[in-house]
Amino acid sequence: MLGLGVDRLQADINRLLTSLFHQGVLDEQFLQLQQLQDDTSPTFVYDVINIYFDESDKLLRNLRLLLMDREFSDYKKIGLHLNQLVGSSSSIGARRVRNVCVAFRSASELSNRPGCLRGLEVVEHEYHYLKNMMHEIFQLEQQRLLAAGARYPM
Amino acid sequence: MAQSLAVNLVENIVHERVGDISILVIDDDNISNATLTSILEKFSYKVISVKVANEAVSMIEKQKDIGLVIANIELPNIDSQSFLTTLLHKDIPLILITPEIMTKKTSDSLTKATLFCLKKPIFVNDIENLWQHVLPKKSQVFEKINIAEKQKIVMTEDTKQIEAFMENLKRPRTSQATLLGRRKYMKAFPTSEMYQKRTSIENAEWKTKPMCPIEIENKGREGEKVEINIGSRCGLWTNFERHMKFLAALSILGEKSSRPKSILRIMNDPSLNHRHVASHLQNYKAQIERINETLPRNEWISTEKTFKYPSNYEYPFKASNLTKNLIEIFFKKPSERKETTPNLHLGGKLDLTTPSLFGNILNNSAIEAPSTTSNNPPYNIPSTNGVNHSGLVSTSFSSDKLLGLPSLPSSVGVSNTDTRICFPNSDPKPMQSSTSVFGTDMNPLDIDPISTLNSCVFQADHSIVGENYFLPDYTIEPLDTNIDQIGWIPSMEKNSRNEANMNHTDWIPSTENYVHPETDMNIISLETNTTQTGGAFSREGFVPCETNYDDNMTHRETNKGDMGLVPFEEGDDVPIEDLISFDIDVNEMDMDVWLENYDTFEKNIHFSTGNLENVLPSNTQVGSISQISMEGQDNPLAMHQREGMNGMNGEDNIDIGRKNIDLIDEILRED
Repeated sequence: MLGLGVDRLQADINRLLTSLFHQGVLDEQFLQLQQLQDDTSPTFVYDVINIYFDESDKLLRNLRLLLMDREFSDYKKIGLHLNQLVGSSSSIGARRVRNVCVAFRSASELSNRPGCLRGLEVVEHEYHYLKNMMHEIFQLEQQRLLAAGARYPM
Repeated sequence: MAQSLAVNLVENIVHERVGDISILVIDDDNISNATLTSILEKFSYKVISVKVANEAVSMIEKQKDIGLVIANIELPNIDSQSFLTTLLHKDIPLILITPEIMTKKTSDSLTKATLFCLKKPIFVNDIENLWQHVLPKKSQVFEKINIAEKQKIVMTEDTKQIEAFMENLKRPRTSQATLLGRRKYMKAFPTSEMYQKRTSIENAEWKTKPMCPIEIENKGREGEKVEINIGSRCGLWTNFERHMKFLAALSILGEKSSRPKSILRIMNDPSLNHRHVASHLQNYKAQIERINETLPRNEWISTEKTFKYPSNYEYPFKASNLTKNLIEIFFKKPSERKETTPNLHLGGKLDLTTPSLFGNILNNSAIEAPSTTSNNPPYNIPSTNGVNHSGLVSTSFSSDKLLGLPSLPSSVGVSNTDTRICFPNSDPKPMQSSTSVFGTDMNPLDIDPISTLNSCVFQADHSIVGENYFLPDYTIEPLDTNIDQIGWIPSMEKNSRNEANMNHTDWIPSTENYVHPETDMNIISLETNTTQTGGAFSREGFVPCETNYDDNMTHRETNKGDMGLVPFEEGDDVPIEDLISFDIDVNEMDMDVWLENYDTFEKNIHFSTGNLENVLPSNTQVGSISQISMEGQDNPLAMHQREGMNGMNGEDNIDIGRKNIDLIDEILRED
């Protein structure tokens, strides 16, 4: 009974991940991350992704503050932040976030304020979408672990 | 030393840590730090990570067993003297990581000091091969193979440097014996696996990941034949423009005559040499093969019997063929038409190598065998006796799915059973606005080769499917304008709309884009088209029926404004494969055949034969089609009369095509 739960949860997780791959939200780098996870680092993916979310939250918050500022003029700074975001997104395998960041970046290179604002919105949207999906996957994963663990009571 | 090295190699080539080395990772990005560390640890390296170059210096001083430093090239102090001198002093190799977006130029001293570079994101494979760099300091091999001075870090296509490096390798060095010894061992043992893995990795990644030319160094070390092209090739072709030029050159040359030499000549790119082009061509073809294989096969694989397929046609579409067919249609009595040459056939077999919107829709075989339409042949619709409206028109494509077949209006007045109506072949350039294949207005070659070369967008041969592409936001126009757009000649407005749609539509080879076999190849244009009467149908011409001509004339009049230039946007968001166009090379043989056929035209012309002579393609530049067709010149014939018939040889097909079409257009309009 509990065993079934595990299978179902696993199937759900797989389904979610596959759909994310299909949508292009994640790419093969994410797969590599998963492969890196093993017995020596059983929560590797979870840890790395959490680091990513923390950092990106900060970056996005900074970006928003910068752009919302009336006297904003420092596009270079935006560029720097974005570079970081691009780098970490691609290391995670968050392809869509990375792509919209690149687009945002090009707007910032052109010093195009409305373009930047729009870019920021898109980035935030994609990012939050990814975050929600990841949270969901982690939850399922946790449940699955519990269910799997409960199968063989000590 | 070599001995122990050999032993190491034998035992566990990939994962063995050579010696007790720890790796120092310098990067300020936590994420990539984490991933990189994890990857390295998988290969049993000890990893120390720091965030700042200064820290790194102190760390190097402190830790005695650091064997390798991997640093992010963009760190502020990474090229500081202290850092570099420490490295040098301790004989520690340096590998750089470049972020995806480079913001700084690397300094010379840094590039000189570094051995290798990786681009983010870093894959396991990159690190897998890293061990080659990581050798015990005692081996001394490392220093001698240090080619850092010869290479640039940033992905450049600097083949000269690579060659210099090669020279360098060949030059005798101290401890060459060790090097040789190592090589020999390498050969004897399964390092070839490594090499194969590496080459397969490279081959898989060549398109996506530009690799540092320094990669070659590794190959050299493995004692395998070093291909200069491998390292530089990757970097070369990631230049999008270059690849576009390559594609354009391919289009110009055509499938058959695409030789690296001629491609190279056309591309006129100083940084390429023959080998680059050749290998790129090979890869490209292989990729096309793969794409071809992965496109879903429909049930309608036709057999030879079920479709008429002009044997003398070849894909890509040739202008001369187009006009040839056009002339045939117009001027030949149906019974005299050759069986083998479909009348309105444009373009040869559809080469599905490039996924196109039209893709398989046009690969219908004759209607008579609806269930066996193939992907390849041009769309043929055999006429049925009498105009059978419903028979031809009713494809049940839902409007948002249909990519294309313009309605074959029933009045395919092709009342003769053996005439065939062919849809112009869909050309793999779905993103382009459709240009009507047919004729008069068409300019298959509305392609101006020069400009398109620049924009790398070839219009041509677009499938007929003009307006009738049903792209998601296509709106149905009022009736009369639809007539004009019954597929053949898209109006400009339509074009632009379609274009807009098409340009943003990615080709997804899903079945919904294909003609459904069940639909019996009935094509429905717009729903409104079904109400078209016989006269409404097609423009130029499918129909040799006299009555239709008149109607066509009138229709054509209304369409005049629409004819002409098919606008296309440059730099569209089109996958590279889609930009492959048909071929427009001048083929003298075709011209001869065409001329040959021409003789039989004369008697069968519907209009005055006097005009016929002038219909022939002529030498003189006619200018853009739009000018002629849109402005309705007063005496187009006079102009044509100036033009002789015989100067065709060697002329650019595009011009020929244009002229042909113009001429035909004029003539038809005359009536």
